[in-house]
Amino acid sequence: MNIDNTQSQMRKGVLEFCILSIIKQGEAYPSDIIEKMKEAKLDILEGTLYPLLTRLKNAELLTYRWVESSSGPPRKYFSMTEKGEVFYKELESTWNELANAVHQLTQNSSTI
Amino acid sequence: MKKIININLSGRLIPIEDSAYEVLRQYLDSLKRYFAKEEGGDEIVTDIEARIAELFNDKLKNGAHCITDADVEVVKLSMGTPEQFDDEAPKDQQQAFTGADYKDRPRKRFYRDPEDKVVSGVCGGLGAYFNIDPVVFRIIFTLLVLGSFGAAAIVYIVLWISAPYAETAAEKLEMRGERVDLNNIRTTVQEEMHNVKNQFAKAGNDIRNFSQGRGRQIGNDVERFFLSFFRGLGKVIVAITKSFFIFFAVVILFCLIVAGIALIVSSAAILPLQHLVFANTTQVVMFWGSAGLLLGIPVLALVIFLVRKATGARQSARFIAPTLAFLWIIGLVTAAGLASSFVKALRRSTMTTEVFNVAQPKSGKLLVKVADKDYIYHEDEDVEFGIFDEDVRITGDTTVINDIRIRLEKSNTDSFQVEVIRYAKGRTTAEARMNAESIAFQLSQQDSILYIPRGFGLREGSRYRVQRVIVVIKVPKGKSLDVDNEVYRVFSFRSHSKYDDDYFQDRIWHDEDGRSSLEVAPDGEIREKDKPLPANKDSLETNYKYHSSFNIALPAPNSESEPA
Repeated sequence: MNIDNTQSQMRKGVLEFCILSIIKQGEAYPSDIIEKMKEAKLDILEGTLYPLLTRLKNAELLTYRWVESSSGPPRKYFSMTEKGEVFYKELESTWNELANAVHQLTQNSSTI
Repeated sequence: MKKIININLSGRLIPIEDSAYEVLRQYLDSLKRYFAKEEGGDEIVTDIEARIAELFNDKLKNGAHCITDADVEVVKLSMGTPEQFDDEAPKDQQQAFTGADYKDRPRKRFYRDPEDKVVSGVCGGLGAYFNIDPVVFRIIFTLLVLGSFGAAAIVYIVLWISAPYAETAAEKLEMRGERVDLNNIRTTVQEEMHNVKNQFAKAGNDIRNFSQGRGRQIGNDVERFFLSFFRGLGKVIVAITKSFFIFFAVVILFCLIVAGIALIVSSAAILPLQHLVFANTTQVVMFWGSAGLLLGIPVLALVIFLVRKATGARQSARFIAPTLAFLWIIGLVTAAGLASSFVKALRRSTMTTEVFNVAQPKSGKLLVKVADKDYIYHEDEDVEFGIFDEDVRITGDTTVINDIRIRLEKSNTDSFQVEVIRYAKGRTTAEARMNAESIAFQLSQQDSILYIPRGFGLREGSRYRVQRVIVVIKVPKGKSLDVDNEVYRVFSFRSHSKYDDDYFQDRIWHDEDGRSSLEVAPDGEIREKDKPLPANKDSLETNYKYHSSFNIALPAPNSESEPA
């Protein structure tokens, strides 16, 4: 059993949820998202973020608008669609259930 | 020292070192390949490009003059490489990639390494190509060259010629690339197709620009249709042409190598003939030189072509093609010169006549037989080498050629007369005469039997210039000439005066031993004496039918026994 593989599987699962939760708090520019994730000690490669955003956008969970920037060409700012809100709600409840379950199980195992 | 080039990345002007540009381009290409199969792949790459441009822009604003290799590496690190994406991001189901599809690797090519060279950088380049210490190749080549007495040097020279120096940063990257393995080779093939596609896309764009420049408004659909049509067609044509050329090259190469091997093998037969055919050493050198050039140059050129195709090396030095062509033409001119000198050497012909004194047979009957022994200088020389169906035999120092003809004529006197005519060709009449005199030929007579040797010798040091011997036997009226059947078998024969002097009957195969008896007929022709037919008439008739096309005396078995 490869520990790296298991770890990356865990991270993969929550990545979309985390990104959606950042965008839910307000319009976000990709590098802002990276920054926020870094603050939360969840390092992610930018090269991984862009395809994720595009996929979420293509699934109509996200939308974006062009915002003029002071330095250079306009940037893409992402925000959530109504469909995205619903999707997020479901993910959130799943996550809470999962977190509780994991929490409970790990507590039990540590007490044994 | 590095060159700085300006690039337009996502609408921004970025000054960048050319080596850094190469790394960046390959990185972006790898991303494009990675995302190519995904819906919205172009958009992802565009976003990433825009982000990279933004990062570079920040760098430049902070006072950097240009983007360096290190800057690109930093960006690569923060953006991640396709291999890392797999570990990190959730993938869509359809995204089933194998590792080699999108590897961030420079395209690999075989170059000579100018920075790691002892002789020409071939081993350095090989080392870079296979990711092995070049010293290994140097040792291997040294051993091979020594072991093969220099033959392996040809391989080295071919590699030398076929690969250029890696001079620019891009070429050096290509030279070092990744280790060659099956996956990489597959990727290279895919890239090749990709490049072809791009080229035609470019050509398509040119066409579009042209039409727009003319102000022509072509309907979008039509345009798109034609663009994709031409792209597809072009791709197919290029692929077919390429593979056809390579196939063709391989076939030609194979044929040439077979021809070369045949030449080398047959040289065993040619070598002893060398001194016979060629007038001097210059001609020998010319022959082997031109043969080597005419065969070797195409082989070399094809090998270089195939090596280049196989390793993906770009065009090598400009002087190679003209040099090879020049050498080949030299070979051609030499061959032509040689051929013309041969034609010249056979321009004149002459013959000399020598009278052989015949002791007139008392019985009035002369018997002609084939002598047991040839003319050979040293009879104890046992090395004999025969070619052309044993018609040319080469012993230690003598060449024996079986080209002897016999002509029967009516004698004007009442005695048998025999003449030996020596015929030869040469550059001048004098030379032809000299060549004719080089024929060593001796008839011999024992009682009433005239012995003719099978072949004549060429004196040491003389050349073969179509020498031949004609033995003229003049038969007097009223006397008969007996011809042993073996004579018909061994020599060309002419007994009929209605043919001109150049006509000689081919050798005739007589199975039976025996002889025929000829005499001058009343009409002046020489033919077989009128005799009662022998008992085995049937066999004679079949024999007669078989030979009916020849106007020649027939064998008459059991006709007469040889005089003791």
